[in-house]
Amino acid sequence: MMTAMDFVYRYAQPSALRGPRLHLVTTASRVSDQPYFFKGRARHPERLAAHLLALSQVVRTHFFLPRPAVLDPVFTSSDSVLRAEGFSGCVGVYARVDLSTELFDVECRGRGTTNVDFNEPMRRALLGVRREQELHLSVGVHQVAVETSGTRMVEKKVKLPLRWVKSFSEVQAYQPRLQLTFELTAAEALIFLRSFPKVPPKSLSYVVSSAGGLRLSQRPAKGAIPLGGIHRLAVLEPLLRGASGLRLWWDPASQVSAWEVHEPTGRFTLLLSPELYRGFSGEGQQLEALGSGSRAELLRKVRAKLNWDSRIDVDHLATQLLTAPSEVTGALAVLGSQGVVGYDALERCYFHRELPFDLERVESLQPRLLSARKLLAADKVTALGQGEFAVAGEEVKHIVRITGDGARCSCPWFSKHQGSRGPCKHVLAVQLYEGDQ
Amino acid sequence: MKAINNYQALEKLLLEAPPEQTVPALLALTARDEEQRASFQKPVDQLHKALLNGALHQLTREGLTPAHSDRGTSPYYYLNSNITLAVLALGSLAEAKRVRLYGYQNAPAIIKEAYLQVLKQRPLEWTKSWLHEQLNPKGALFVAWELVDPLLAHGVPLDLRSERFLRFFGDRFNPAFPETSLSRRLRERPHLLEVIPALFRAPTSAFSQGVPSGWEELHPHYQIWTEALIELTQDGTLPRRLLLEESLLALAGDFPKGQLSALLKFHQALKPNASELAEFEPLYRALLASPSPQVAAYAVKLFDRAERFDRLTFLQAAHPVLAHPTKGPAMALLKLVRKLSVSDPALEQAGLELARTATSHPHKDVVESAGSWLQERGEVVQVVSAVPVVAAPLDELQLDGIEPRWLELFGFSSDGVPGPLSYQLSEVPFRLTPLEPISTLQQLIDEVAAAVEECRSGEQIERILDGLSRLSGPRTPEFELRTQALKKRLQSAPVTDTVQGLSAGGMGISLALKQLLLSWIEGRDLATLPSPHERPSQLREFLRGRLNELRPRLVRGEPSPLLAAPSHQGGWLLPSIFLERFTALVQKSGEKSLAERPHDVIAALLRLAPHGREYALNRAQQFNGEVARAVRWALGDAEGPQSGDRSSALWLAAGRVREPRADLSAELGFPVPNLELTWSARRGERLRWKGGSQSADTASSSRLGSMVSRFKGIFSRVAPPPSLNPTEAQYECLSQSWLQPDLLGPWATHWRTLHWPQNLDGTWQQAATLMWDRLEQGSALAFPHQLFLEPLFEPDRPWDDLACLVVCLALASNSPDLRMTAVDLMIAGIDDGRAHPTPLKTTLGRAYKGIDLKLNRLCQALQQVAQAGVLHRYTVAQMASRLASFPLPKNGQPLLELLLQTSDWLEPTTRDALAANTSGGKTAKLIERLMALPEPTTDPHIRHLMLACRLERARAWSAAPACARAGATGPVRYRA
Repeated sequence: MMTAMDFVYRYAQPSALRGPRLHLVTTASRVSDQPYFFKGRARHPERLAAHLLALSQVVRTHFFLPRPAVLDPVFTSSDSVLRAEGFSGCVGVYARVDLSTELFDVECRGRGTTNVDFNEPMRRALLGVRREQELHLSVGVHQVAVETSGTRMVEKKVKLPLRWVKSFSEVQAYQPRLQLTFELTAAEALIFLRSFPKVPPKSLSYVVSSAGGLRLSQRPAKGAIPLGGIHRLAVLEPLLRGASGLRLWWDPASQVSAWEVHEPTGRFTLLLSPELYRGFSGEGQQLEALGSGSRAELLRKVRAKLNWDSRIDVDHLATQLLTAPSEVTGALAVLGSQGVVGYDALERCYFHRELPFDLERVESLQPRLLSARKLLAADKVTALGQGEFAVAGEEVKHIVRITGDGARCSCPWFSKHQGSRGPCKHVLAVQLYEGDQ
Repeated sequence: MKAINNYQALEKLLLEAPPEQTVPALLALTARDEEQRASFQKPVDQLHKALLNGALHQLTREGLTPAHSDRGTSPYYYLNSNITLAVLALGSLAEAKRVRLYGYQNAPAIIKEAYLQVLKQRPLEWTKSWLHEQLNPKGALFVAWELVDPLLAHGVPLDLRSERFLRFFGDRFNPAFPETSLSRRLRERPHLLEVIPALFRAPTSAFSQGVPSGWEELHPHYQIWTEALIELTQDGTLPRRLLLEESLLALAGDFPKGQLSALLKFHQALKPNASELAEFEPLYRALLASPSPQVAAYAVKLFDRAERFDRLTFLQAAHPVLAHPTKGPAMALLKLVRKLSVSDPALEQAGLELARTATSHPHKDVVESAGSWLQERGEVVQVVSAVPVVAAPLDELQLDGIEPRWLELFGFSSDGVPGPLSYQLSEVPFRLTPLEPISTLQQLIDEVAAAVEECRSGEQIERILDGLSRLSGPRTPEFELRTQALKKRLQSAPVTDTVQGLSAGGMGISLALKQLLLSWIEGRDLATLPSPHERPSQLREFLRGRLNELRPRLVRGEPSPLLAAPSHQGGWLLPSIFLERFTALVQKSGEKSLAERPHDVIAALLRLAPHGREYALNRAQQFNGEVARAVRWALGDAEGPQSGDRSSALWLAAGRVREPRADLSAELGFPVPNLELTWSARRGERLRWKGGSQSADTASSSRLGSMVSRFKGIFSRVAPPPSLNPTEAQYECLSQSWLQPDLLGPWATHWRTLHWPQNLDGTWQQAATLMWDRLEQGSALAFPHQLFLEPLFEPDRPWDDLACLVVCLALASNSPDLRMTAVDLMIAGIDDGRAHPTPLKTTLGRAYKGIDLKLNRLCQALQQVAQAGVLHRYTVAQMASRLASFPLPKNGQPLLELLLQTSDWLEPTTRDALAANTSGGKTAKLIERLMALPEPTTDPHIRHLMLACRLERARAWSAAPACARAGATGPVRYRA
């Protein structure tokens, strides 16, 4: 089975910080015709540098295995927000920077989504950015003439892991479900992070409320947020030193947590998978949506209405399309799985962002869905009545039960994960079978 | 020598001949054309595979000639090197990559030369790929520099800037016994000199290498990397500026702190001058944000003395220094800030900003220093302190409705700080949480399937056993359909992981459980004999006995209640529920059926809660027979064992239920092992903290149940067999060993705490032993010792001295899982009043005397406890004070800092001990500050807080339902 797709990052030259100008070089795909995707003077250069450094730290780290990660983040420029997103190499951490364009003296602003070259020299240069320093950010294909001397084309051929691509669609399923659970000042957050043991525990930890802030516990309790791989949060510490505070969000259904460092200059959000060894790609949150063939017409209509909005107004869109807001929300969820929109938990809304990958192949990247379709095509699903089905495996039959609480299966995979990682292929096959009936 | 023309001849040579014969033959083969060599590739690969999977080991005992062993080298070694050479010479790249050159360093010269020659014969890219794999940092590095060096000279295009090579280069290029100096060897290899800058960007231990004392005389050529590189800059071989810049860039990077520390020493050895400092000022400034506190502190000190640095820029960039939890860099920065602000008022604003940030530092000294400077400047300081020092407003304690005996017990009626809670569980209506039993067959199948994949609790196992016993029935086609997948999983799961779930039951109880489940599914009795590899264990025998009783019923499809299934968390069984099951069983199968399940009966008795025993006793009067009498005796009946009784094990268990710690010899009519003495005898001198001497006439035999074995002959016919004596089994010493994984994994560890909830002494002693054995080792999934602490989280279980010992060991453990669980436990225990400073500090003091507890770790854990509240801070202060009353070790500063952070006064014994300390430096300063603390006083807040903690329990006990009381005659159900 294919586990990676060939992808070429082509940049006219490497991203770099030269003098007062930080130039982040983009690929040419899905960018407006203007030479610059975005250009402006940062009003808070040190904070901008801190955000970009934190993002670069995430995308160059594999938190689970000692393996380098070399995958470039994705930038989106829209009417009022500049966003950068990326995953860690283990795809268990999703990082996003949200910068209001009001934080810049904007010279040029395009709309679109693109990859951006992040490299080691650029990163080192960002380390030295000072508060009072002039810093102009330009994101685009071309550079101003004065800075083009001595530059060279950058071409990065990578095997883009399919799990990395899949994860972009997976994380959109969690974000609408996130609930704001704790809110701390920067100092309280720093004290909390510094209280972590140097060697993280092997078993799951829990974030609980304690005198003066939060505490890490090893026991589940009411209101406690499970947290595996606690060392992944170390990325936030440099950011907190100049931030206003930290918001902690949580989805009880999936145990995914989001850690949002906020300040007047912007927000940095870290979405963590429930445990260190779990990447977002295998969570199966989008499988049911992908499997369903309904809403095709509505999807097309909704997509046609999108125009790089940083806040998609669901009610307005529903009025335009003469349908219910819930239908539009459902369509946006599916579009999220296709990489066409993202979700902003704080604003509680979707934003338009088309990933520079061919995510129409997303279904082809979902092995469980492919296997489910094969089972269905081979007539392996039999209805037993009363909401029970038998799905023939290689040597045994697996029993799938559809109940009011959801679906259950007798296969070892489901028995181990108990539905926390999405449906197994047998449950999916039954759902497809029912859809066909 | 005859030429080798076919593989058979080659194989014979490889398997039988010494290297002197095989090497020339192989070299001759490598000189042939590709087509000829290709015919050997596949069989040579197969031969190598056979070597690696052990199929050829037999040959080393039978096949090789004595001449080989005469050489003083193991026959296996020659076989190994022959075949390794063959695969390097003739095998595929994929197979060659599996080669590991074990013992290369000690190999004879002929073999080393042969490796080199065969690799040189290969195409350069082939050898490059092979070398790249050998340098894989995932495994141990067996390839040596003396092999790599000539290959590089030969032209193998290895990427010298790859992280793999750089790591190898840095770690291995400088051997311990060199023939020439490192600088000279580098000069002779210009291609490696070019790579030196890249060395600073790789994770390597090069700069961490030091010179052991005395070596300079013994090994005059030995140089560490720092010396060699500096020497090369002095003669211009390496540009000095390059090394300065690269080392600075590396210091600003994300290397581990050890590597950063080594790089720092290198950079300091370069001794940058004033103009160099000025040239690299931005890079030095970047060091302020280093993750290493040492590097950050260096940058601060540098700015102090570098006159040409831009002070204002420095101050504005210095905030990251305050992010380090240690106080060193922060205090150095604050000191510099004050100094700079005085000399240049223009810098004051930037300095004040830093001071404001410093008020949220976790260290009290930093907060105080910053706070006091801000206050001098007229600022109102809002300090976010990590350690609470002010108690919340205290409400009036409401005592209405609380029974006087609880007020008395909890210290409400006396003055002063209340003493520790002291009660036995059998005397109080402690709170229980019910366990929901499995109700349907489908639910049972689902729960078994889940436990097969992941099982982390003994309660999960007990619920399953209970479900199996009650819900098994005749096998139907539908049942077989529903359990098909489960059966396949149990039959085919690899026997590798006994930690996570029940699927991989390889031996002992794990195997017995797996066979039980298969018996249930298949309807065949799949009994297994104990494995000869098992270490003897009474506990295992008892548990296996329970499963052996259950299995035939499952095979026959006969549902019946499982007497021993706990009805509540913690392994507790309400007597009323036990009697219901007992009644149902007797009514269905007669009283003789009880004799067929002695393990079940004994296990049930040991789980009986004290609640409602009198009520249950009344219900039990209707039954006859020995078992019924023993049950009644357990529940409090006066009539004990009679001379004609047959089951000493049953009566022993019943006696233990009546009085968990009593000497039952008189009642039972045979010597009963003194449980504690038996344990102490087996453990000998270890853990003498209990203070008691070991009796000289205790059994010296190491056999489990040694006390009982002394009474063979006359008493053996009445003494309980070991497999039916689970109370003694609780005390057996399970050493952590791969031979006991079925008793030491997650569910097994938790299961241990459920067998005899009324008396956990044996469990605590086992826990203490295991924790002590692994005190310096990190967390391990196979040894989840934190599960031993679960019973102490029960809201009413008292903390006796053994429990306190276990908690103290856990706090000092190197395992973060165990240590953090202990912190949770301390916080919860102090919150509800069970964790009292007096027994904790006493036990900690005794443990500290006999066990080497790492103060740093222990103090960090206690610091976290202290942060939870005022009472927690007080408790930790008491414990720290006790530790400080002993002579302070060299690494005692964390303890002094903890004491300063948590104490408002100083105990006299601690004061005397500190006064006798003659250390200087920081220790002396800390002691001086401690000695300034006043004498102890009684803090009314502490008394109030302690009583408030006990109030909730007092109310709950006062409101306990009637059947929760020991003498109750009320209704059946208890709901907490």
